[in-house]
Amino acid sequence: MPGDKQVKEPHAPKGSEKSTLREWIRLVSLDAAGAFLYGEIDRRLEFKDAINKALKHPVPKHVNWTYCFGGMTFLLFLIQALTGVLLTLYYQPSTTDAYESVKYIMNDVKFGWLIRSVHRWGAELMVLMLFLHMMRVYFNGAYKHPRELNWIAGVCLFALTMGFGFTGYLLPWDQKAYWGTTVGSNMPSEAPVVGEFIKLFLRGGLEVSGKTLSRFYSMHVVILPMLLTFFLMAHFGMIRRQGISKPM
Amino acid sequence: MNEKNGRKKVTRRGFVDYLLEGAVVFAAAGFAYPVVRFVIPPKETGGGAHEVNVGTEDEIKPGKAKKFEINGQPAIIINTKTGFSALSAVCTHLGCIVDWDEDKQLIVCPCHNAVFDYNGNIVSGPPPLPLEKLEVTVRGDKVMVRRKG
Repeated sequence: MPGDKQVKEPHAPKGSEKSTLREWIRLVSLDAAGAFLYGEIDRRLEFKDAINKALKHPVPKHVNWTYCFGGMTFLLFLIQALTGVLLTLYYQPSTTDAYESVKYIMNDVKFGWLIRSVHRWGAELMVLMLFLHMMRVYFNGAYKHPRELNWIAGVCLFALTMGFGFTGYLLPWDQKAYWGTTVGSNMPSEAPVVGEFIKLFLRGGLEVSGKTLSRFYSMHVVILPMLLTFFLMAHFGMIRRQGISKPM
Repeated sequence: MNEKNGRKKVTRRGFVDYLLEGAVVFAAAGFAYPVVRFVIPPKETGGGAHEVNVGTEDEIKPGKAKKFEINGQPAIIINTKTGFSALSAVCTHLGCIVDWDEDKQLIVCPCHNAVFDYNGNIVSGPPPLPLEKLEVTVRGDKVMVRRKG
């Protein structure tokens, strides 16, 4: 393009082997990686300002550590997503293989015990952090006008997280999982009119069976993550738009 | 960083930066290592032995076959009129796993209709070579199979 003449070539004069080598060393060192991201890519995409604006976004003075619970819930969700994707590499969702594959992950796969345990305890912590976050929002009255919609999005996220817990509980296909799901999926049947249908819908049949396992696996790794991502985007979008609520 | 005589001069702040960056890289590596090891599948146990115990003699009835693993490769053993015959179950055509057809008393490949007899010789179909023969020894009532050579 004609207007680009003033952009200088950032590289040293070519031809000399020494400078090429030095260029390579500069590239593999971490300093250079940062410089590359901030230099070469930014020169083309100009994202530095956007990143700085996001990272250096001012936070009101009254914000204290109790405002961290939401972010911690999100961090735990990211950990759940990462470890969950890793677990799908070995987990086999069928009545004959599920328990064996979990045992295989725990006993034979290198660091399998770690990845599964992080996923398991991360789930507990995520529910705990979500609960603390909700308490904080509630007692600060942060759900009030004009943030009602964000509260609703948050309640949806809470329900989805519970769904993750409920569906994930069945996947090891051990005694506790089986009977837990039997009892859990029996509960909605007490609801009037739609109760029996919800039970049938959850189980995919009359009893908890391989069909239930397929269903729960699909919900756990495909449907719920998609819904959760959608509501998370809404949740974060709204807080950016409206800002953190003022103290009462 | 300041340039002096063409060499980079390390400042105090630069040094601390390097330490920080190093710590970040170290921590990241600590997280990445278990993940990488997790992704690499563990070595298969069973079937990795040089000699495999396929089962007892009366377990494989005459005219029937049993599949097993040897050195991580699928194999098949057939109880024929002339005794046990063990073969690699990998078709020499395109590597599908062959099956024993009890009615025809022949080995057939499900992919491209290759047919072998119980000694692994080609009867019909596209395979370029017969199936690899394995060595069978009966010790007591245990049927042991090993690779030749």
